[in-house]
Amino acid sequence: MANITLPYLPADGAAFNVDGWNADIKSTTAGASILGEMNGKLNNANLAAGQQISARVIKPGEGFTLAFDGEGTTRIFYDDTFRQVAPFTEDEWLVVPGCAHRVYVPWTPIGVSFNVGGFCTNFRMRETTNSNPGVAVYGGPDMYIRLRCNGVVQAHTRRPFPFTWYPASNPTKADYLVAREQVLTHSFDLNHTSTTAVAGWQSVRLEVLVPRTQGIENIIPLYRTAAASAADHYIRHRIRFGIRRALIVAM
Amino acid sequence: MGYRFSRGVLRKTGFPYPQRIVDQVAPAAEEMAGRLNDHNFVNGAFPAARRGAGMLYDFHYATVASDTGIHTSVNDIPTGLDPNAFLVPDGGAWAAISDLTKTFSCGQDSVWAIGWCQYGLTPTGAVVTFDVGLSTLVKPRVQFALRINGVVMANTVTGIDTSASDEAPRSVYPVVPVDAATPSHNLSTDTYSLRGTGSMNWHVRSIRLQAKVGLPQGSATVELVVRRIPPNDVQNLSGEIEPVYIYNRSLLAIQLKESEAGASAPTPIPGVTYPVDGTSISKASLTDNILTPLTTNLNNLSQTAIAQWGLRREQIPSQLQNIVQATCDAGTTSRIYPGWGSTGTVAPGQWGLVTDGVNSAQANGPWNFATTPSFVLVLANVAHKKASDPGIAADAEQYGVYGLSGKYSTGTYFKQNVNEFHINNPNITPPWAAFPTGTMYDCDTDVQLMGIFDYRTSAPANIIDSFQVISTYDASGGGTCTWSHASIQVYIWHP
Repeated sequence: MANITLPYLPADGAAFNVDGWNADIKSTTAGASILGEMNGKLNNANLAAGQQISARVIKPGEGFTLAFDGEGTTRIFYDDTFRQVAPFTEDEWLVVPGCAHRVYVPWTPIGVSFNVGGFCTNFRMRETTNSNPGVAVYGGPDMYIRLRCNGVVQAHTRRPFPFTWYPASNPTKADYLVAREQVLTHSFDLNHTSTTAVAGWQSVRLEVLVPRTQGIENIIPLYRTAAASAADHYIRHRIRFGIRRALIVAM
Repeated sequence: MGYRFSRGVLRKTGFPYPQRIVDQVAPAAEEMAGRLNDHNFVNGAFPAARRGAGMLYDFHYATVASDTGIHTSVNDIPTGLDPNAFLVPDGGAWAAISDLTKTFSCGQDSVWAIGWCQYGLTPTGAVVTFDVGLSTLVKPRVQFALRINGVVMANTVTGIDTSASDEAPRSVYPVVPVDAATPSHNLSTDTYSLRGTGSMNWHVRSIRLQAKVGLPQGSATVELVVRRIPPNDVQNLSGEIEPVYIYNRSLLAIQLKESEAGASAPTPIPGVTYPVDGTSISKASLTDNILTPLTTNLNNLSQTAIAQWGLRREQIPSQLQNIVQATCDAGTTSRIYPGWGSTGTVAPGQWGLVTDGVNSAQANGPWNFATTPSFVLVLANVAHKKASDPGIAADAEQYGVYGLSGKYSTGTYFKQNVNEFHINNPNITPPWAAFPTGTMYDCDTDVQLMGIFDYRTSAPANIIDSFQVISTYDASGGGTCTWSHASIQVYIWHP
């Protein structure tokens, strides 16, 4: 719209035009009446030169929407411990409490930032994969965390955790089972952004996968000819989460 | 206000009583006196040029570049301490990394705070804490947090705060048989393998924290704080309390404005004079005293004519211009760290692009920040696996280096030193007689990067084609830096 120009404007010396007056007050012609223009047609041209819009006039929640929550302590509760999960399938990813959040965004965002940060410790056995080697070949499944944003797994946020417990370096020697245990504290701060999100719920959650491995199969290759071990011989990989938080910023 | 109707119309057969005229025009005058809102304006009413500076977002940040000094050769013990290094105080109390502290005034706002720093042990040559054969059984530990208006944000604290926890340093466990030829269960003191700690088992690495907090009206202070945790008197071989330093560091407080403090009082429309009963009304006076003042005002509205919280996001463009994200999978870089102050050029012998060969952690523009001044935030993550050199056994002494760079349309790279990230392998099995090359190291660390490029008032040298994550191996040559996943997010706000 352009600026408002009233078509009639009564003037002395001429007969008063009632229709013209009424139309100046309100008509459906763009830019040609006061109330007609004010009822949803005002735009940039109506703002004086040099006037700028500040946060004062933006409705709260219209510029951006945020959601932030956290959980945990610096002591790392056992409640937050994840232990063996088997089998190693996509179905076995678990949701970490305190790292799942969602927020309703009533407008189409330009972009949404999803973030989950926190710290954890892990215990992860390093395994051997060859049955009778001269020197151990190490392998075995990783334990991971990852983000799922708006229901979609974000592969780039997948983070493995290091081995913290080592079996013998020489797998031909049973005595070499003696191992060192190391515990590491890790911090993570994972981000994902979306520029295709639509109005509605935006959600993020942290998922964890903790595989389990059979001790007798993988720790002592020398004994690998033995029968498969009972369940209680599974190695208890574990991961514990301390303080963690989830943040969604829709902008 | 909502849709407003004229209160009646003049009739040809009637007489234009003053009250009837007032009834017709008063709703318009009332609206213009500070009550205009989203019902009065079309969607897309305002162009970006109408945004006041920092309309929705304002940015308060500080960055300090400080070199860890770890970058000359494998097993090199750096000499000298960067003058910008920040010493974490002894005593265990939270201390602000003071040169990052930001204080700003705010209305009814929230803050999205992002703190980032690189921390490490002392780089002085006299204290050989980097080397295998650790001098102390317990390494110093530190915790970080964001502190806002004097309150440590509990859900940003990193790491455990007690040595009584099950997750505390394990010191030494029975490990390596004394004699490989005569296996034994005898416990041996493993002077190599102490890597497990509560909060700091890396020689150098970085940490990034993010939080959103609602702010009270007035002023806000955002800090990145750090403390040593018990035992905080960890000593080195020389009997000194082993210092912990903060090197590269940044703090960004994105002020998210829900509203400004206070609301403008409605102001009457100047020049409007209503007719009153008992006086004559000329036709010209209707124009001069009513219609012309109203249209003049309506064509020259001030912001105060708009009600507080009056507009919707559809009516004025957000300051956020764009977000660009790029991701990639596994890859390696075989490069040689060109040293502190290098330009970030991706080339053999310098830096390598974090790429899996198909996709790269490179966000592509181009962006002409000379014509569109902008504030740019770059966040990046790399799932760093290890820095390794098959010919070198002492893997804990090998460092991966990551950084953020930009590439001009001319093909030239540029980089800020403050965005460099140095990391060693924290968790290795030491080499021993039967396993001399020690390939059992493992790192698997979330490398967190943060870059601030403020082009609001000063433009870069050229159009920027891209921002990318770069990597290199910190040694004299032959090694690689390996990762499994990586991403970069570039946020661009207009002022």
